[in-house]
Amino acid sequence: MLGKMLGHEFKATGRIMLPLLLGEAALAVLSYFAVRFYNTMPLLLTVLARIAIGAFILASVALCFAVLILSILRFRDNVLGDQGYLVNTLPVGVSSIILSKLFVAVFWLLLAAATLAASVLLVTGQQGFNAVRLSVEGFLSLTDAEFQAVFLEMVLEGAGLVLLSLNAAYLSFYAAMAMGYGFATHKTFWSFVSYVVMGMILNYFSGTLINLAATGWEYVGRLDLDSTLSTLTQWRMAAAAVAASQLVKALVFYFVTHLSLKYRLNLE
Amino acid sequence: MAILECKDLKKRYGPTEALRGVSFNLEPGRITGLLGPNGSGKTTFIKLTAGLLVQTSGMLKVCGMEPGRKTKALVSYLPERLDLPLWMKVEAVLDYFRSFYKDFDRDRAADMLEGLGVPLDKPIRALSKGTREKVRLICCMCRKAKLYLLDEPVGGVDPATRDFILRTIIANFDPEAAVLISTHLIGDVEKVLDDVIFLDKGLVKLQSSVDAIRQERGCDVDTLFREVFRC
Repeated sequence: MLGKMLGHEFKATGRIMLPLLLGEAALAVLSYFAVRFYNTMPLLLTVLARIAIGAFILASVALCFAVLILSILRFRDNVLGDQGYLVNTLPVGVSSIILSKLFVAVFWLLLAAATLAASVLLVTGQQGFNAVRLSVEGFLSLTDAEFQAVFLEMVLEGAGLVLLSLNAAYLSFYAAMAMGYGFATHKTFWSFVSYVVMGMILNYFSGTLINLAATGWEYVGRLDLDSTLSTLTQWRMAAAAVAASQLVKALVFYFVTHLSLKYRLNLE
Repeated sequence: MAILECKDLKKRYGPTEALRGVSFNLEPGRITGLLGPNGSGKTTFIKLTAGLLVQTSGMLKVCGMEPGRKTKALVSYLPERLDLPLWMKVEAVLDYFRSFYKDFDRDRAADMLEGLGVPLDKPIRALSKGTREKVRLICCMCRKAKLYLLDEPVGGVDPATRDFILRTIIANFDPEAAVLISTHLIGDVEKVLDDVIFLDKGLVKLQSSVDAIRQERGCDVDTLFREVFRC
């Protein structure tokens, strides 16, 4: 059933997300030509070129926020609003409902980020590619040989960490709304309160977890068991601590959402 | 075996008791009216049965199972509010129901809608309120479910649409299934009911067959309802 839910979710969200992404891409192409041929354009066209570039910058700034907000609103309307009568009486598990929304939302956000990156590189041209290359080279010059040897592997691990964090971030909104909409009135207010309270509690615990881990490493260092930790080891330890805290957050938010939808659903 | 069994069913929203110990069974082949004034607990009971709420205490079983994923496949629920996405085309709604409910007869639903002149290629948004209600009712009744839960199916629609709704319920009635209709518009639905349950402030005030009310009390259900719930 998760497959069917995913299929329907892609269909339902695609009708809004795809035009948004295509709009960004179209503005990028327009801006590309505007930048390339600006100096050779007649005066009237330079005005249009400026408008196109301005629209591209605005759209680029707004794109990821728009995708994030639309995905959150989609969860609210489809699960907690009137459509919830249809969705929550389907013969599917609550987990299928949550995961289908989550995976599709994360997919669109990643696609929006990729579209944004590609659009910016298209408009900035060779200068953009050079800037990225120089940034990577500059970063690598600060690291040791052991780190440089596994750089690509580290990039993949970083991507995994981003993916995990995105899931945790979306689930935090879902959990807050699922809790807030369990109240009879002032549902948006209670969603906001739930978001703040849950965020504070979990940030406190995840911060403590990371601090404990850091203290443990320092302790290991002081005992001279391995006092000269390499850049790679330090990086991996930091990444592991952040991944663990994001995983804990994601799981807590998931179960809060699941339990709220199962036991505290309160459709108007 | 009873399609629906409930015993001492209670539901509390914070300090408010919506259901205070409801007990009754629904047998197959019967159309039952769940009748009561506003705030009597009708919608709460239907939501519990549809699996949208969880009871505070008491027993509730659909086909011998507690409401959950399995019973949702056996229950066809028509909510009080329109739950269809407005952007969806009517034919996409039919596909949606077919993909999630094995017992949904898409061809029959399409035939019924075409018979009514409902354009399948139009989005729900483009339809009138009455037509949207018809689409939703047809989606509900074209399932071969064990229990049909209709929450205020005739509320807020014109008399012609009411007649259509009641005709559709009768025409699609399966003797192996049970139908529970919640409403406070008794005069309109009385003619299709076999049994009635009067719900008042979360308690069953009366449970009887419509024939027994007519024979023993010498009045129709609407008159009895007005007597029982006189303000």
